[in-house]
Amino acid sequence: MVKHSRWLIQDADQSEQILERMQTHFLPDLICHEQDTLTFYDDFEWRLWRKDFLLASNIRGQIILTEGNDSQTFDNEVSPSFARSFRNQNLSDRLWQVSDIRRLLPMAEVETSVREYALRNFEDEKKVCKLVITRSGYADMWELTSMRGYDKDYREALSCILEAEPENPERHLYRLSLELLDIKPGKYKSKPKTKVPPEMASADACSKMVRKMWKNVRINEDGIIQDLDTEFLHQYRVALRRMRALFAQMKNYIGPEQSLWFKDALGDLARETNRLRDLDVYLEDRDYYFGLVPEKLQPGLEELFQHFTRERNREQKRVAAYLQNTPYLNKVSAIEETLKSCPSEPGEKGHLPIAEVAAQRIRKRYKQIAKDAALIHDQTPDDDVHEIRLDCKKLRYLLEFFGPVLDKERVRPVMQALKKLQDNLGRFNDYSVQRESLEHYLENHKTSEEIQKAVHALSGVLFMKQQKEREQVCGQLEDFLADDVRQLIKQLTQPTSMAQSSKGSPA
Amino acid sequence: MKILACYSIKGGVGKTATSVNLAYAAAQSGLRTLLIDLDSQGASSFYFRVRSGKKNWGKRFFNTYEELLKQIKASDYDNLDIIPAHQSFRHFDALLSDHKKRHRRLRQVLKGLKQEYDLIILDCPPTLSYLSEAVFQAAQMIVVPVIPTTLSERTFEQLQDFFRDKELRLDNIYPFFSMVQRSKHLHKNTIERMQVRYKNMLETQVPFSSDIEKMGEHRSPVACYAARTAGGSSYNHLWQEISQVMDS
Repeated sequence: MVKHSRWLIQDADQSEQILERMQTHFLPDLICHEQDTLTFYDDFEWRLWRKDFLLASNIRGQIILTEGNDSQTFDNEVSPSFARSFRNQNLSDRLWQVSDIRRLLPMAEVETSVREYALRNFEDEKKVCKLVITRSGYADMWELTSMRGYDKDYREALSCILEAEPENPERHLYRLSLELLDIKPGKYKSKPKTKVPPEMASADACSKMVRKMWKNVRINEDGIIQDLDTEFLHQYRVALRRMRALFAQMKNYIGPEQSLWFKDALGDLARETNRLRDLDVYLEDRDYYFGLVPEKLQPGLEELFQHFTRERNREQKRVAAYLQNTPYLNKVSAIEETLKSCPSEPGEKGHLPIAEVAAQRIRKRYKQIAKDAALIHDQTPDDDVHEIRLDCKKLRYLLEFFGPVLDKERVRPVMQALKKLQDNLGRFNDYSVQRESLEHYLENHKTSEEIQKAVHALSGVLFMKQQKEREQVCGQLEDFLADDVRQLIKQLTQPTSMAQSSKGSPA
Repeated sequence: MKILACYSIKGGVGKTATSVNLAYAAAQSGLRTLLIDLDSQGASSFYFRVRSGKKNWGKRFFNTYEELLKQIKASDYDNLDIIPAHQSFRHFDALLSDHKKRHRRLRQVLKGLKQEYDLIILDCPPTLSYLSEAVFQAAQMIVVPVIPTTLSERTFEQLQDFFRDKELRLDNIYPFFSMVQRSKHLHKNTIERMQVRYKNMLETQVPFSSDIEKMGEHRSPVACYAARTAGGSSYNHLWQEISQVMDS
């Protein structure tokens, strides 16, 4: 019903000429003319930018959210920090979809001036169209909005502008202005891909990969120290875990001694942050836990979570100090020195091409899962199920690390099939870990009767949930070991697939 | 969607000023508001600078709500639209006399607008007619400006008699004092007397004010150019009182 058009006019003189021409058709009434500074926000991974969103605050307490070419303004808002802290539910929900728990950080400023005109007719000086001209360093953005019952006037204003043949912007003025300022997303990815040629010696290829992963360890430190959001610690730990997984699985290629040294050294770093991560997860899942216990036990849970909150704050301070102190920095430089020389003594098979090794490892791991799975039935002890879970995790890492070396397209369906199984096994494991950890907490802390009651109730629910997941394990394993997935693995790891991707290297 | 009528049997009591300023205050408070100027003289349309098209569409007014949709025009202000008066509105009574269920016709046709508006304000001509009966049936609240004089009090009583006669709901009528000059003894005495007599009497009194008189020059609601004066702020108070009554 309300029509809206937008153009970009890069020549400021041309803008003024159109405005002048407009005066023969309407009385342009300047309602406001304001200078504004827009501060743009994004999370550490630039996920808003990547999904074609831009989020800005201005000096009048408004938030402007652009998505593609559309923008919406929200009045009386708080300064951006997290998606969930905005007052407007719609704004909060839309951002939550993209950046969920990550902190929104200021990334650039753009100066603008905004002129808002009421275009009035001559006979009654009635406002018949709305015109807003936003000027930034890049261009003038003209926005014309119709008013109900005044379509004819809108068309007249439209043709007045179109005579000047302005550009229809493919992208929003703000994005173009930011690009003009050379603002662009960083290269950070939580799971970085390292390009290695298929024929590269496996020891060298692995070293190249771990060196890249190490960068993620270091880059997240600052966010943990400043306590910007909990993802920094999570991704710090993901990077350490992936490095350890690579050293563990490829030790015979990288060299057993050095691999073991790295595994231990990286493990030391991770261990220092275990408790903080556990507490972060509890606090993030607060609503979920409260949903699991009956209302009358919730005060006990509330008390427990107050303990968690206090402990988390203490633990965060401890970790932040630890990351800045000499012992940590010494460990870090030792790791960095050793990484430089890695592989210092490659294993016997370290010279084999990475594609060949990867294919063989993936086949072997899949066979191992199949072998172990054959022994699993509904009554098998939990420990055996955990064994399979670890096998799956290893396969997952192999696919993540080396899938792109083999065949990017073929690895995707295998990952999808594996993910279903892993989700099931992951939940099975999570419930048991949560139970153990809660019971461990009771054993080691003096707690009120309320807390104990709440924890016992929670533990009961988690046990039931774990049983439910356990019932699905056999079916999920069957699916993953069915012919179709077996074929996918075969295709992914067969020599022809490797030959294709290695483009003529000797098979 | 609520429907509010501004009505008086007597002309020149500040009825149009009330419609215009209440509509503006309601829209400012965030309600999607439509002002329908039923008075063929078109005074409230004039205040909002809105003109009706040339076509004689009044004869289709009571047909369907789609006919009304076509005539809606945006005011200069957010959340506020107008259906301007047309000369053909003079013939509404003749039109309604042909309708079988004429009393309910207006209510029926306005129902169709409930998706788009939270509040409809009807600015009514100062007559007692088929149209006013249809208005009384349609509106949940009938706001009647009363100048505190003996003559106005008399016409207000006439309105009540009419309601009794037609078996309409008397408790939908909400009078308030308009164009009040406290310095006049007559005004003061009439106010005191009527306040005791009518339980629905609204508390807000709109003073006689040159700022309100100047609406014709400014062609805008008084709050747009004299918000802080006694006259300018009185309609905002009146709106707040009315909105409380409507919500209760």
